Amino acid sequence: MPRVGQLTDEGIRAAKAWLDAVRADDGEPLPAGLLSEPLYSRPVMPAVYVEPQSFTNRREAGKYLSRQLAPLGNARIADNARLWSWLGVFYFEQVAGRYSDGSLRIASSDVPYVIDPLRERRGDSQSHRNRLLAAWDIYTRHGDERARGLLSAPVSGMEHLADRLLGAVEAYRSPGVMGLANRLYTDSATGMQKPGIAGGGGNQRPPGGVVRLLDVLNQLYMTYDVYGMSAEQIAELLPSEFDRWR
Amino acid sequence: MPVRRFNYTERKRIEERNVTLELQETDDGEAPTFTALLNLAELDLPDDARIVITARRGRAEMRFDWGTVGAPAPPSDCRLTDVPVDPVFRVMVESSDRKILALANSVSPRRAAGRESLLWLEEVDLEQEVWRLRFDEPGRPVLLVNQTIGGMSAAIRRDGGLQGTILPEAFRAILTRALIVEAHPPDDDDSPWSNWLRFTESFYDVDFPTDDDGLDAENDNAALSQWVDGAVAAFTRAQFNAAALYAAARR
Repeated sequence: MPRVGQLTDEGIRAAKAWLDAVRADDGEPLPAGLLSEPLYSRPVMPAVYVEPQSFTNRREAGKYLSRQLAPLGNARIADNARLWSWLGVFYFEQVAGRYSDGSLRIASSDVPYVIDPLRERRGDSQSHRNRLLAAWDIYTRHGDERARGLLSAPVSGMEHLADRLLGAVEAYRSPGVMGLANRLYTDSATGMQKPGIAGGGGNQRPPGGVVRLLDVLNQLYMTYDVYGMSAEQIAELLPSEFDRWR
Repeated sequence: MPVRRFNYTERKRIEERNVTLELQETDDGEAPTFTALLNLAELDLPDDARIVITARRGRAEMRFDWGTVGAPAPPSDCRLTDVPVDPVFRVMVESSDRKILALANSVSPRRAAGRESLLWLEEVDLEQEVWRLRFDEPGRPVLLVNQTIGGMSAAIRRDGGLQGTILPEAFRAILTRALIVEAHPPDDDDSPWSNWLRFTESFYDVDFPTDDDGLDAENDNAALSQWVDGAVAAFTRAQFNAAALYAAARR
């Protein structure tokens, strides 16, 4: 079973160069030793291991990584860009996904796969868009039940709901807000995100949708400790535009 | 439907003087804890209003119920297990229906010695670098040390020889950042770097170069650098006899 590592600066550079090469030719092989040679990767301490997996969805990925990485301590690995980059390369085929014609579906940004630690140090963090880190973070921080609705997409995707919530730090930290969002926007029978919460894409703000929820929470925070409330308490303060989702 | 935003609230502002927050860090890898002393009398808040303190960093947050204004009751366990490094605190006073009556939105803690922390220490992955400085926030430099070198944080706090090799250069970089890179005027009490400059004045009695000294309007970096070098030399003399300590450590 492979021991989990963290990419060195050289490893990060090699991984990013490889991603560029893959964008040009998806048959480009992984550089030899990227996940094992000391030049590119160092093992994490204590030793933890992962195996190749076929995750059904992001919740399964979050659950698996939560279990495998637990000995490292959640607070220690939440900001470890090198660890998540190692995992992003290790599970690259799954994280990228493929189109129906079999071609690799790779994003134009590296962040879903490889996080640049220098950018993180400058405080210019985009790490919440890293597919595996986001799945692990939601699962470990908010639990299996809430992860059902927030992590229902394939590992290669990112639910609109999760993406918006991860990008709104105050809301994301709040168990009440996350519980409410799950209740409003997730079909309790299927565990899937309800259609229509995102509008037509772009910067649209459909009434009662998740973007509007974040707007309203910001407004309520002028008066209430809304991020410290339970889902039920917040729900009582929401205007009628949210009724259609209740 | 646009959100209507109000530019006024009835919430009161909890000033810095109303809160003394102190962080107790450990050298054994255990989560730090904190204490908070609140003096809210001048704010005229209801006795039954709840006090809530949150510690946060990045996507992590911990909340601590602190009793009421009339009967503060700190929790027995204030370990910062989920936000162990460099947290920022928020102090809120709330009514029973969770309205925020008073707020201090961003409170930086002091260190346990009772002195305000000027330089934060954080163990991170630095590849082959032993230490470096991080300047995320003006006035709050963080000394990063390589987490793979066991016990280095503790050594920096205790080992005079190691301090002598690291802290003068860190101090030089910090003053350079404040005065040259960010070009904050040294006499500006509102500058985020004012604590560092007050600290410098406590052992370095040389006037800052000004236009009257021939410093041109474009800022003469050479003159500023010279002043910084003098401050660093004074720092090593005043804080520790760095070269002698290092020599002793080598012996």
